[in-house]
Amino acid sequence: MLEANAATAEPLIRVGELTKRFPGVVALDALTLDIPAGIVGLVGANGAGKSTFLKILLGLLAPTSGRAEVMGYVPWSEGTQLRRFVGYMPEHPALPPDVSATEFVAQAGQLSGLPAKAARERTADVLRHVGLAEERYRPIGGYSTGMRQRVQLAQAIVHDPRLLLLDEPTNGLDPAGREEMLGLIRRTGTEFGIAIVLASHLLGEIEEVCDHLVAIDAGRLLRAAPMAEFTAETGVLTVEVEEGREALAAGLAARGLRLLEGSGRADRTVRIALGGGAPFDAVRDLAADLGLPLVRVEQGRHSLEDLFRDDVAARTAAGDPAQASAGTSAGSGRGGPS
Amino acid sequence: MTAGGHRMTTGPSPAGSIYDIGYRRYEGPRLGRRHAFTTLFVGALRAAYGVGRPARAKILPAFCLVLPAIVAVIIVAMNAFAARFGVSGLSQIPDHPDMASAVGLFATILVAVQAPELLGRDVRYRVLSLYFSRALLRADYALAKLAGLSLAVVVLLLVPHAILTVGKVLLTSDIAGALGREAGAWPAILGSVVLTAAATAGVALVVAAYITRRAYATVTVFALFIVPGIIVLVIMGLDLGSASRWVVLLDLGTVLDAANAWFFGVAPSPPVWPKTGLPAVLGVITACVIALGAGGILVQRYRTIAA
Repeated sequence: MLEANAATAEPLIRVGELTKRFPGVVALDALTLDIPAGIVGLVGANGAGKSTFLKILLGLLAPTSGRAEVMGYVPWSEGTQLRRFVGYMPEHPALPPDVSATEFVAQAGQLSGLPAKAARERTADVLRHVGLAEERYRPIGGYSTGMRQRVQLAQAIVHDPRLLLLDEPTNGLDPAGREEMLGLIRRTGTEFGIAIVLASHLLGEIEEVCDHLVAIDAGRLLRAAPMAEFTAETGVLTVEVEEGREALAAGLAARGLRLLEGSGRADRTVRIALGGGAPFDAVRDLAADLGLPLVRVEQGRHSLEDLFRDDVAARTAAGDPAQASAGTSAGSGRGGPS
Repeated sequence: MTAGGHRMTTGPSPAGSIYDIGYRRYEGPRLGRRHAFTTLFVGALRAAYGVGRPARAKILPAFCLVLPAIVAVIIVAMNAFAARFGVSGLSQIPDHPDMASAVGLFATILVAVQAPELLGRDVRYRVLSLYFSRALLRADYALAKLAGLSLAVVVLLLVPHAILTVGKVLLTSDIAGALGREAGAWPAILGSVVLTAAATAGVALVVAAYITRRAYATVTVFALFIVPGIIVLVIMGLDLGSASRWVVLLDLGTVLDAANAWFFGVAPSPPVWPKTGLPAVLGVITACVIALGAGGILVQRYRTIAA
């Protein structure tokens, strides 16, 4: 399924030098990337610019500068044409309490361009798809959080969009509800064939559902690649020595290996990022040359979280302190203009 | 019977299988902004009368719709009484030109209560982002609400005129002549009703667009419709010279009264407007400016409102 989606050649979304400044904050900083069809995860800390990015793609916000094209449309000038083919699920609850799911979703369908009759038929369809039964005739005010999220998904797909923009779709759901929502999203992307951009700060979710990943931090592109590439890169080799860690680290770095910052027993271990093959020979030779007491050599997989922490750390090391501090503050603050 | 029996034997299906229906693509037409606007407009009109909402949402609009109708029925009854017993001074029985002041209060109540409902709800529950993410512009949203609430007021104001027309036609022996006279009155009726509706709905929606809390918005609308009238009355009473007469334009009630007088070709009601010596057409112009201005402010507000 991943291959089928990833194979679609033409990028669905093209973005160039996209910048959005709010008073006092740069939400997007010259973001340039292409997003292919398929299920694409947009990952970043809270405040990294994900919501701003989605809103610009929808034409809800105009950028300060830069270019964007979504399915051939410029969102902020051709928004009404574009939005007939786009579904959007905001990160916050956005449903009126005093109407029924049926009435609201049908109206949503019409507002996206469906004639009244088609809107009613598709409303019945999509509400069944998201698993809303008899309660769909009751006012939304009485729904549980899980049911509301389903209605929010239903209103986003009622008009059979080509592209679905989901902003933190599992917000506020319990673990079971989260799994169900992710299942629905995966089905929407694979079986219904709707391209999806899924914004989340939870890498686990992205890893579970997406076949392509875009990581942004402080409004800048960190990485964009197929999920397979990321998972291949997440290999890590941990080398533990009784003493002489510094010498080992220096020697490994001198041989062009990428060392990871971070967790574990920092005084005794060195963690090496695995690009392709594992550098067992290099480790063995180096330990022998330096006469180091080798305790263990262990190959494991580190999480995507580690990967991004490393990326941020690498940027700090590369002498971009302003960016790095922006990244940290974006990670800790919740109330940014996202 | 067999169908029911069959369902019984299958039993409740496991939770997962209720989703298991093939997804159907939509191949039909995808309409654009005009369709979206009409949908919102009809939605606003329905919401103004509580259609598709719980019963308690219908009580007040129904009250505002029915009471003017009762007023009209009473006027018809007065006409019938006069015709039957030949009471002289028929001109003192309220007619179309008097209808606006007789039922205007109900229009005020409807917009004061329903304008916050139409706009405040979508802001409070953050529904705007779901509207703005569809095939319409922010301005379409604002103008559709204005058009919907205006039409709701038009209906409210037209019903008593319609009842009065039907009553007057049926009461007379010269039906053809009465029909002719009534038909002649309707352009004025439509003009006054549409202008009144657009101005009152516009002012109320502008208030509701800035004051999200429903109760505050309703109170503010009432205040805007009542307080300027009192201020104008006081200032006119002070006799501050001819320049002060322009303050009359600040009171929507007096302005609309003058506009209606102009449409029907009668004198504006005392005491305020006649005292100013201003032409009644100025009421029409001012009301138009208020209605258009309200539309402009609404569009501007929704162009920048957070969604």
